[in-house]
Amino acid sequence: MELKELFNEFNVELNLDVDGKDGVLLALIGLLKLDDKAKEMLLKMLKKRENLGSTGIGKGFAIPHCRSLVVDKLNVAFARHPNGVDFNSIDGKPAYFFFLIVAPPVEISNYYLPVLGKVAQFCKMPDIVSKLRSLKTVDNFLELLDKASP
Amino acid sequence: MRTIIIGAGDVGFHLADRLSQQGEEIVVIDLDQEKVDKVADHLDVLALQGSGVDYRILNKAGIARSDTLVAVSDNDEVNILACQLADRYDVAMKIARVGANYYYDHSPFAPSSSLGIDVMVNPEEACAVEVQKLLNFAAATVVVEFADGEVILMGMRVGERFLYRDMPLKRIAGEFERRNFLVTAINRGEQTIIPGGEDVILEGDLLYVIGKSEAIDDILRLAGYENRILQRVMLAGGTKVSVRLAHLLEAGGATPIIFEADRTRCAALAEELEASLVLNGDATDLDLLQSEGVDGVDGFVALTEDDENNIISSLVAKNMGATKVIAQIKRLEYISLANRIGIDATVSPHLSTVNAILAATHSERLLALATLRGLSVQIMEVSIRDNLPIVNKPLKDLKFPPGCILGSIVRGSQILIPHGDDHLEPGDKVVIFTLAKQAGKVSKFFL
Repeated sequence: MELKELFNEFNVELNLDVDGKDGVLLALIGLLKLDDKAKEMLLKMLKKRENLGSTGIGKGFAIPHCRSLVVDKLNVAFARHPNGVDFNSIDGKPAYFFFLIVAPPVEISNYYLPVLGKVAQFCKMPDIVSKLRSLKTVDNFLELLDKASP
Repeated sequence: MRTIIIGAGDVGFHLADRLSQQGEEIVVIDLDQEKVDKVADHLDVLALQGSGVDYRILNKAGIARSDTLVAVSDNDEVNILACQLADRYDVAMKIARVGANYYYDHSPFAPSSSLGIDVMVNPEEACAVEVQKLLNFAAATVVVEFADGEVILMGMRVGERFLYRDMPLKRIAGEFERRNFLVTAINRGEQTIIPGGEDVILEGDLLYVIGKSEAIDDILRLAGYENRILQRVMLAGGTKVSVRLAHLLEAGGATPIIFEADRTRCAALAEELEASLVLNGDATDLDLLQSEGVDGVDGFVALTEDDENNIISSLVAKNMGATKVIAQIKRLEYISLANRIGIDATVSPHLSTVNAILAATHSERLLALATLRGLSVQIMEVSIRDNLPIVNKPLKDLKFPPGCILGSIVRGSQILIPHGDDHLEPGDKVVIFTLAKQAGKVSKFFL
């Protein structure tokens, strides 16, 4: 499973205009096709996960992720916040780039951890921050993912 | 053979114990009178109080007639300096425990021979390498390589899918076409058995099997396992060992997830590691492990500095479905406990260091030596000399000392897993398993 196969024009947002950690989480959830009840449950799970330790991995990245019954297969979303948001990251700096990963509790294919690993690798590519900053369109982002996949 | 050991901490004590059992003359030096007393009380070795870099103490220890100096104090610089002193006294083999990374790799001191040191052992590196081997062989509780990796010894707990119930070993052997492995020791509860053909294997036994490296699949089948490829690994604790391990796993193409409770440490780790995902959180937290998907991991390794935490988080991970859990445990009393409660394997930088040093201190004929944790068995790799009375006779006609078994024979490029009709030839390199209390007799028999 390559990252580029998971993202499309519907689950990528390059101009987040929300405040705070909860605002970001809610906006990310909004990119998944879920009903209101499911959105609410997912927000609760993600917040619970963040309380156990922030998923802000530093360098401007955060990877909120959890397992939840509201999805029946692996779901992802990407968002960029031009001004950055305090996400309680490990380096204490604001987060600009957000990957959401949600997987069902039982998943036969077991993509959750490998996808989490691939996202982590993507975030550590050289010059990735400046590349993500200069993205103009969703297609640019998809192209970047394409180039990142070996 | 005379060996001087500097430092009577866990590593020094353990080394002195092992080497003295092989009949070597050992002198242990430590600054701390209490540690010196402990060595003197428990081991049959000479123990001296003083500094390992004080030439007067070293003279007292008989450095001029010593073959080996092992410096394993907790101070890198003392260890390095002690080796340099030993070099002046023409001690043939100088081994230092050196933990700081800046003495390795691109250091102007590298290679270590420029410092007068023959072997430098980095405890964290030695431990990480051991964990990696354990992860690579999912079923193994211990993996030791001989003959440059062509012969492998694996310790495995006999699993639920074990097929050869109530069958004596000699009949089990018939079930395998190639017969290129041998059960060399069985650990059952508190008891260690060096098995003969009539012995049977029980579920829950810890088996120690030696074989050619290509026999790994057969060995796993014997114990009721299938081999699998390592992909998903979680590490608890961002300690030095886990950083070394993460580097090794990354090099193998995996992306480990590391949990570290301390945020500042997280940031430093994320900076240092290439591909690993560093997450802030407490790995003893059930909810966290569950939400991270610990149920689907191939390996979970608890490497925090706290033994109790490591035991708890690896037990939780095991219960949630992690395929293989490994815990770093420093306190020796906890090790046998950990094995009993379901932790698949335990490691510690101390014992990894001891094993690495034992492997390096081998004499010309004693090629390699390993000790198995919590087991009173010693493994020796020995080179057979010309005029030994046991050469060129069928093995079944030799009167081996009790409690010992011949595991493998390397003859030139040929590797034999020996049977009764085989014989030893001069120059053969053999791996021998023996109960530790018989080690002295056994080395006399073969050396």
